[in-house]
Amino acid sequence: MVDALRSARRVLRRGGSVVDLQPADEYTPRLALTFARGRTELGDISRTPDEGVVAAHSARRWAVAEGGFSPVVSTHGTHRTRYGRLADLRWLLRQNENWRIKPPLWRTLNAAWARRPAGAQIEIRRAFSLAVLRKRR
Amino acid sequence: MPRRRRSVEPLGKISERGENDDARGYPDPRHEARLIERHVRLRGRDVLEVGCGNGRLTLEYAAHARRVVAIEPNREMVREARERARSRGIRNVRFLTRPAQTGIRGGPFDVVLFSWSLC
Repeated sequence: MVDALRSARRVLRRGGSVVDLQPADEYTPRLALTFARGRTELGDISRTPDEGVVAAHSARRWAVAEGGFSPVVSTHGTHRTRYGRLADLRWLLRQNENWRIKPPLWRTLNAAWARRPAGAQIEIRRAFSLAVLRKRR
Repeated sequence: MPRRRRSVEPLGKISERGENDDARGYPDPRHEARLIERHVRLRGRDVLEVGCGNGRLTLEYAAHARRVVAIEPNREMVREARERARSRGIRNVRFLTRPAQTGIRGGPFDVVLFSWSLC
């Protein structure tokens, strides 16, 4: 990943920028049900650190420490995904092996889902990180 | 001293599964492009996008960039991205099947964009 940033530096004009948008390195996904009028927060999904994401954040720091880039912007925020079926949530959990919904939260989710109003959706809130690095020299 | 900003900003609701079907759950590309352009000017610039997938984000900003080279290792994704660009009449983008390890070359560019692709 540091190599990718070094390569990026080589192809940038003087004063050019790298923009890197990726998941936040440490955050807890939040589970909720949303309806036409409102939402119900259900709880937190357990998430152990994602090695790829941790390495990517580390690469950013290395790229700056090496002196090739200056940090210009460092910001973070949240975004949400919505799913219309429990099967979609299970699919998501299979794709994110570092995520786990503990049994009490599953029970809460199943109960809420069973009595959901029409049009309800499962919502997951995640965190992202955005950095802008400017080429130095 | 370079300007350095720290803030917290919402990226809005992301597209539902199906439209941008990815386990990481990408944000709505319109919101994402707007967020990026709040910090970096893409208008009139030469941009290299690394890991463009199906062109989800590329097609949101390409129309007002000067030139875009978008690389992606997955050939099927690249094919889809080209079709989407063609159907939208966007002609200033070259989608290339290349991995990041060897694909970051050419230029020079004003901006290199890693959108959910450095990790």
